[in-house]
Amino acid sequence: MSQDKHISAELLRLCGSLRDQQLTEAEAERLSQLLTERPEARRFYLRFMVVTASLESRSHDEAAQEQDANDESNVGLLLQLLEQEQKARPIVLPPETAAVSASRQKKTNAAPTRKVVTAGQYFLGHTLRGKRALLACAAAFLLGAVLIIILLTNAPNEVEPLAEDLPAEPQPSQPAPRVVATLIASVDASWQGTAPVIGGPLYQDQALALSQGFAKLRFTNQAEVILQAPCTIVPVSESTMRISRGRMVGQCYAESSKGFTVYTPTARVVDIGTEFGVYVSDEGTVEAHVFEGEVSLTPITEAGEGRAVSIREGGARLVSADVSLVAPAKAEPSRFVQGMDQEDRDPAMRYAELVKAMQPVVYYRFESLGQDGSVRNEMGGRYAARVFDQAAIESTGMGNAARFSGGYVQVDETIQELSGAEQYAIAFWVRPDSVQQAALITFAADVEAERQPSLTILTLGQLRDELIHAEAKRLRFTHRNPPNVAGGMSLKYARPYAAAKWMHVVGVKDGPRMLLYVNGELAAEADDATPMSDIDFKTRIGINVVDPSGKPNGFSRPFKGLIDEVAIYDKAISKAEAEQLYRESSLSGSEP
Amino acid sequence: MALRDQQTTDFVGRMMAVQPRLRAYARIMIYNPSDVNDLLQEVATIGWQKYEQYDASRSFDAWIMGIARNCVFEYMRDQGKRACPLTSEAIELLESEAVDTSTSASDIEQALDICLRKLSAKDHRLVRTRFEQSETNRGVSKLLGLSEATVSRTLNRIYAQLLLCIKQQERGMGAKL
Repeated sequence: MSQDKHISAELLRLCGSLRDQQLTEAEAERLSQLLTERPEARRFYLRFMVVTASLESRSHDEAAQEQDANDESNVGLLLQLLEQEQKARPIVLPPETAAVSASRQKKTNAAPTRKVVTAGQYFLGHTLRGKRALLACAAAFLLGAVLIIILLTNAPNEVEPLAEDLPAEPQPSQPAPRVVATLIASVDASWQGTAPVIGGPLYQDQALALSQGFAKLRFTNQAEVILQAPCTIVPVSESTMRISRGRMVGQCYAESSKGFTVYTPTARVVDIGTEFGVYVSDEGTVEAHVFEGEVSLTPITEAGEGRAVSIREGGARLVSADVSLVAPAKAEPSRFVQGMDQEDRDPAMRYAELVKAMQPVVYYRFESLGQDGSVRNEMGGRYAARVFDQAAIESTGMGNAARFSGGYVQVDETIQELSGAEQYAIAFWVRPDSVQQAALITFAADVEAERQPSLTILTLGQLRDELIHAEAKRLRFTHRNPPNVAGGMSLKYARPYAAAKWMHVVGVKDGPRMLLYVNGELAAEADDATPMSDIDFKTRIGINVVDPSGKPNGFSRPFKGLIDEVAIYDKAISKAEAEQLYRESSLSGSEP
Repeated sequence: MALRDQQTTDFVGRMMAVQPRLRAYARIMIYNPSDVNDLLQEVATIGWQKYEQYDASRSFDAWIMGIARNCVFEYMRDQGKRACPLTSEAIELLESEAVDTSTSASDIEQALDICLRKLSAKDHRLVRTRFEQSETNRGVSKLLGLSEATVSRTLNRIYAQLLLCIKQQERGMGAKL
């Protein structure tokens, strides 16, 4: 039996009190007793405190980021801290360091430059009790900043006191790697290879592959860059970077950052004081979008450079992988993360905003249920859905989702906008618990029958389908006019779906075409000239048909698993939109 | 690169890599979270001063952990019950296991990243408020308009959820994220 099952409420409460520094003497005694007598209590306590340490260290990262946002750089802040401390064992900074310090102090109208700091200050600038609050904020990036200082200032190589007249350090035989940028923030970031540290240096030609989340860099020329995973870049110099894959936003508001240059495989993008986004697809297509100000884009081929074009605010250029095409377009800021704040990066929020901007007729997020079991339509008061039987709400990484285990969600009222529609689309996330034969979304004729004909149905095939073996483990999108219990036009995803994996599904009826997108990619397409039937229907989620009494029956195919973010449109969704919907959620690694 | 510069780069790189482990160990042993930061910096300072004595053929993590343990012992001697309100017997048992447990701190951190994203928006907000905006439950209660008791209970429930999720992550059980 797992340790987790033995977690007692008392132990949790006591550990919580200790975490909150609210432990009374009696509680301390009781906790000590549990820890002494029970090994599983110690294991629980140890993990509890490791989690606490991690959460607390995150708070310092945040504080460091806020501090980072000040006008002074990390180095400047650290120097200020160092110079405010007084301690024994002075060492003498070399003239270069003193000059840096002096210039910063002049800038901030601080006290005259001191050439002396202590060994402890020089490394960590800290005493155990001094300036705790400020230093706690700086602690997370302090260590990284030390390296920056040493490299930038060519600091003395001794910790012991040095005489001022000691001979200068011999010149290094090889130049030290140049620090050209700093990682100033990251959110949910995972890196391939060695992960850079917030507040830490980024070196010239250091390959950086962000596999998940977001990261913000500040180049030495003060240009700031936000990376969205997956993204691969190389800082080339204090004012230049190369991106070979993924998305980035350049923010060049400081005067010194003008001229910041981004090399892509097929173009050079030069900032002219602005905010812009660059996207390099896996196929090599390059897009440059200007949100503010202006950039210059120069196509690059093996034969040389093409003619530079200017892109102004609101504009974009698409460069084909073979550079044969440089096409103007409108800037699409929604495809780029332009800040590291919660609202900028929360994938669930961004996904919801994107869906709403696409104006579906109904949109069920399943974030909460009404007291009567109703599910709100995010697009307005009409078409509220209701939960039947065992459907419930469950927390996921994208907020909440609907959990189905025999129950279903139903919209009683016919969605009139779809009646007779030439175009419609259904988009949602699904995570089946297992391989199963089940209905995900159904427009079922509103008739009292044991088996209602369906107008549209999205289904999952079971492991072995005795009747239609080709449907085994397949996702299917069927359109039927006239409505029927079988037949119609079906699209099947060629690849088998996986249990316990999230899948983003978009079924589209676009006039005579039917299209099925899975995880942002076109999975199947076919022709069908018929529009949506104009008979009344009920929309069901998580089931196909139900008895006239509303109970599942032998034809119901109830779904077991999670469904989320169900949006139904009275128009078609384009390939780009289907891809964007998927990508918005995958920004933080939520792809299946 | 000058020898000492190279040493600096090496030392800082190694210290960054071992930070989660050091922090976890220190937090297990020390009651007051702000004292943890002080202690970690003390460890770094001593480590840097003694770095030339470090034998590169041996584990840096073990070497710096030795320094960290000495710092913790010294701190406990100085601070007595203020350092940790548990009995000496409990502390001794915890200390011997904390060194091992801290080796998995990085893995737990990674799993925690995933598990935090699985929290409901409301729970996530509470955690953020507690650890990023206010360091006390009282501060959180004021910011969110909840009673302190509610904050504490909710936080404990979230911890239980996170610990379970971390365990599942460690067992390789995937989820939506």
